[in-house]
Amino acid sequence: MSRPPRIWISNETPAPGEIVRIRAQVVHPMETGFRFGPDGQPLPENIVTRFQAMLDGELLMEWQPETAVSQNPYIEFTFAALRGGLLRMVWTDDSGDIAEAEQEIVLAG
Amino acid sequence: MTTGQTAGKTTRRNVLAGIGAAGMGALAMPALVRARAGMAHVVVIGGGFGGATAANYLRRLDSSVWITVIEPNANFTTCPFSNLYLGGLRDWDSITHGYHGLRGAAIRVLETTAQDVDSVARRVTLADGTVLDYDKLILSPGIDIRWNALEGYDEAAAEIALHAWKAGPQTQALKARLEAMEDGGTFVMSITDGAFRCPPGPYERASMVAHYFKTHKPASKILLLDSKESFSKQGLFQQGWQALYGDMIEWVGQTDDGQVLRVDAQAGEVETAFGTTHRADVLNVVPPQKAGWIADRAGVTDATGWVPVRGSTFESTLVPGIHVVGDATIAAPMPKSAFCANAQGKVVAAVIAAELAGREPPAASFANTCYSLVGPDWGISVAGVYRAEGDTIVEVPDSGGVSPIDADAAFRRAEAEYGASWYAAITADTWDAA
Ligand SMILES: Cc1cc2nc3c(=O)[nH]c(=O)nc-3n(C[C@H](O)[C@H](O)[C@H](O)COP(=O)(O)OP(=O)(O)OC[C@H]3O[C@@H](n4cnc5c(N)ncnc54)[C@H](O)[C@@H]3O)c2cc1C
Repeated sequence: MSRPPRIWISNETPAPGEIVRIRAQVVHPMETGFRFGPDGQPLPENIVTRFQAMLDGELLMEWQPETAVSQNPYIEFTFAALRGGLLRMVWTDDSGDIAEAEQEIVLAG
Repeated sequence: MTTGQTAGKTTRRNVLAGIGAAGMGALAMPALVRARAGMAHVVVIGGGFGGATAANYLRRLDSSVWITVIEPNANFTTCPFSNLYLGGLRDWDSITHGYHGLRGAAIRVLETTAQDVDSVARRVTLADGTVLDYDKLILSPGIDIRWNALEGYDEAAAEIALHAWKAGPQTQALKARLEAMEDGGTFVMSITDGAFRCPPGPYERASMVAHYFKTHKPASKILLLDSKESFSKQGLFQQGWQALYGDMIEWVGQTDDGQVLRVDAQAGEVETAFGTTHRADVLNVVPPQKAGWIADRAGVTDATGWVPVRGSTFESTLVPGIHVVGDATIAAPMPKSAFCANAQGKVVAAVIAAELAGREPPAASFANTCYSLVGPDWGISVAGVYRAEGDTIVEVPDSGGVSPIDADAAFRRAEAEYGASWYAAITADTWDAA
């Protein structure tokens, strides 16, 4: 996960209760473990096994991608902005590599 | 026209040809309709690549079946080579084909739209309310745009941000926009993902627009915003672009924030998934698509908006008795190409001719070659061979392939010539009389 994740947020200063939409993508080969390399040996599995989004330290959502998910996994989700805080997103892969993205959310009004 | 046209001698064949020429008028004459009682009636909706081929080949296989093609356009302008028209390499007439060939083969061509299909009563209702009874129905309605599937892209927006993904007034308007654009402007194309007509089409279009710019507006730029991570013949296209147009064409894939999620046609702007706004001097949208709407009326589409078919016969899996060919179908791994629509039309003609004669239909086999023109003397291609395995279609192992990446100029020129020959051959095969 050499490149920082790309994120987009519909509104970082939502009104209380507003539905906020997040789009997030990380560059990752999602190697399934089913392919063979030029040397005839199977390429070891290395996929993003977990994605978590936390708001103010509390888990908003978790996704466990599997081998069927194509490379550079893209996720879009929504939540109701009941409070503000730091939105933190973490991707973890088979090799233990971690990518993170953060976005401060401030409730308007 | 071959036989049956001896002056003064009325054969069934020239009676039918006469009816075809009379068009809609014939429908108002019940006596003529009754005169055909006992003859099987095959109705074909759509006179494009799939429909015209099916009608044409059915006539070759069965000289007595009664065939009606319903098509609103008096002449058919092909999407294949419409990019060459944009590039200034072809004129409009050379990509437009009439229906005299079909009519000459005693196929009735009605210049109107099929409005509804009743698959239980086996009836098609035409735009003017006329009802046709059929024994077999073939649909080849091509594609329709999924309006608003891309935010901001509805029918009104498409008049400004043209798609030109059905050849016709949109294509001519796009050419006019390119001609009106000042040198130094930017042509932006937004390209959908998922199932769409002609996978290499957007990239051939970019090539042909680049050719036009290079010859008329060399300071201009082309920006391709793609919802996909990669595209058909990518290495070959990009190699050709570099060689012929330098850095005029910039391609931005999905991973680099190329996916457009909103179109503002009035402003000539698009917005990507991660919030980048791009402004265009000429904006072209290759939008999300689905099967032509009459397929919905016939009840043959599934939740994807496309038509599932049995690979061996191209009969609808949802409504027995209706055959569907061309872009409207789910025929993967076959692409949505004119070549495939033509091949499927032939298979359906053979299946229906066999069924009418009480024979077993022959085994289905299909081929495809998509030629793309990168520059006037620079052609590339991808080919595949397919066959039916039960209800599914499979690619024949080790068949087909793409042009070599390291070919020389003579090879690329030869492929440009093969492409032109292919076009002449397939249009003759589809619309000229047997
Ligand atoms: C820019 C571009 C370039 C392309 N280049 C190539 C190429 O080089 N090679 C290639 O193989 N393919 C190419 N294609 C793809 C090709 O155009 C299509 O695959 C092909 O036209 C599909 O044939 P079809 O019969 O399914 O649909 P069409 O050829 O579109 O025919 C459908 C017909 O049905 C009619 N119709 C629709 N609804 C009704 C109704 N309710 N009643 C009556 N008639 C109706 C329409 O008027 C239309 O004439 C290209 C496409 C594009 C957009």
